[in-house]
Amino acid sequence: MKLIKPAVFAVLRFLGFVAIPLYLVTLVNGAYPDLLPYSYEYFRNIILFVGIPLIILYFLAEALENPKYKLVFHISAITVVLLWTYFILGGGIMHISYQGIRFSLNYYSLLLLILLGIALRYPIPIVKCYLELQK
Amino acid sequence: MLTAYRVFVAIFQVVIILLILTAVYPLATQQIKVEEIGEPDIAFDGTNIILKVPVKIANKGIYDISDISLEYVLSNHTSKFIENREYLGTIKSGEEDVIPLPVIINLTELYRMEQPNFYHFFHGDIFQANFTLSLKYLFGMIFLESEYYTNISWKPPIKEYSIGNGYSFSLRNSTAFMYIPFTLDTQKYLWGEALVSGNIITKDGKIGNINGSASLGEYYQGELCLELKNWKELMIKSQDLKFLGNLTVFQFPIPFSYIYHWGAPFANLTYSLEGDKVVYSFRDESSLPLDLYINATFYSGNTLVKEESERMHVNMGEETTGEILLPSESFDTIVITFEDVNSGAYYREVVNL
Repeated sequence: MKLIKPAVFAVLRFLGFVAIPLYLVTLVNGAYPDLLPYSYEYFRNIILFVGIPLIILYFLAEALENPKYKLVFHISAITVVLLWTYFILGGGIMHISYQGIRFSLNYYSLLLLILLGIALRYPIPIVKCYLELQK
Repeated sequence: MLTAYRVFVAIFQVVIILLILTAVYPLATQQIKVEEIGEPDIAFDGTNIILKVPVKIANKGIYDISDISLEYVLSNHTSKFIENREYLGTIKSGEEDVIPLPVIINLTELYRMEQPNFYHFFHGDIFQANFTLSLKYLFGMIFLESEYYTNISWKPPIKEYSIGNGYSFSLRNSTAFMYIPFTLDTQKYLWGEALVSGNIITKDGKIGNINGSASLGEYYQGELCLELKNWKELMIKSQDLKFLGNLTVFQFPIPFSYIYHWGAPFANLTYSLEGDKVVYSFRDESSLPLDLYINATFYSGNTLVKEESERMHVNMGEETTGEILLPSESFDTIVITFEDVNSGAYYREVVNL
């Protein structure tokens, strides 16, 4: 197993999917306690319980040698990224109360576009696996 | 092939990220902002009272803000008063527009709702207003709806009206015309004329009509005309008059009922023959002092026997007694006339002996 590259990516993903989002949510919640559309615990749980498995899945996908395992973990990782994004973005609907004004944001179309952007990665591990099996 | 696809995916993702950044950045840096500027303006277009809350929407972002609309519900502590939705259009990228957010109060609707008391035509109120501003952004991919509650102070179109003391009197073809002071204070946004019309009713029934007009949008001071067919009793008997009619503002007749206390200038008038004179007494219960011209004419048949006149000043509320000497010749009819030079108030009594 070549571990250096997957480990570096895992660290970067940890920063991207766990550390920085958690820091931002904590920061916003501290400065504006009523601003977050969902509870702080909701965001923390999504970040931790969805973020950490996706880092592990990606790590395994990149560290393992077997193309079939790599495919399974890669597909799973992309699916978890989709879930992570979907939940973090509130399913495309967000309600915020700020200074007595209630804001409702519906950005479902934009969310679908973002999810499409992520889902476009699905064929990559499939083709890679196919090519490796061909070899 | 795979590399090309990877590049395509990467470009696609970068485009999405740029799209989001360019949409969010102007919001974060307040290049897109909504701010209330100035006091609400109130206008009237003949059908609607329009409260315009000037709001400046600056869109320095790179995407249009489209389909801006405002929905509002006004209600007081008892019921929903007004519910409406206004479409306000689009603000192009780079534009800064002042949009007068309109709260439209349709007078026909208000008139229908307020029957029969027309409370809000005459009385203020505090309305709980629920505003919902909605708009689309980023090619319609983001739909924003903001909702806030506030209180709006309702100022009635008709602030107050009053009917004052004092009067002037004239006779035309046995019909008396009395003019009494009248004020009508209306909101500045109104224009045109209000009409007053109705009946004058005593406990014995209708004795005449009331009519007048007043300019709207100001504190109007003028007169109402009382047209009286049966007016003689009013000269000698103080009483409450009921004005029952309509105050018509534009095409909307608003019923009013007003009790006006009429003070008779020759209240409780009595006269009697005592020896060689006619003795009379009365009390001025009107709101004006009297500068009286009293005339007594004595007839025998149709022949004038004697005419006596005198002037007299009577203060308000003053009880007065006077006398007129009888002629030495025989007579069978006395015509006594009381006329106030100031107001024109007039009373004539014909006494057949």
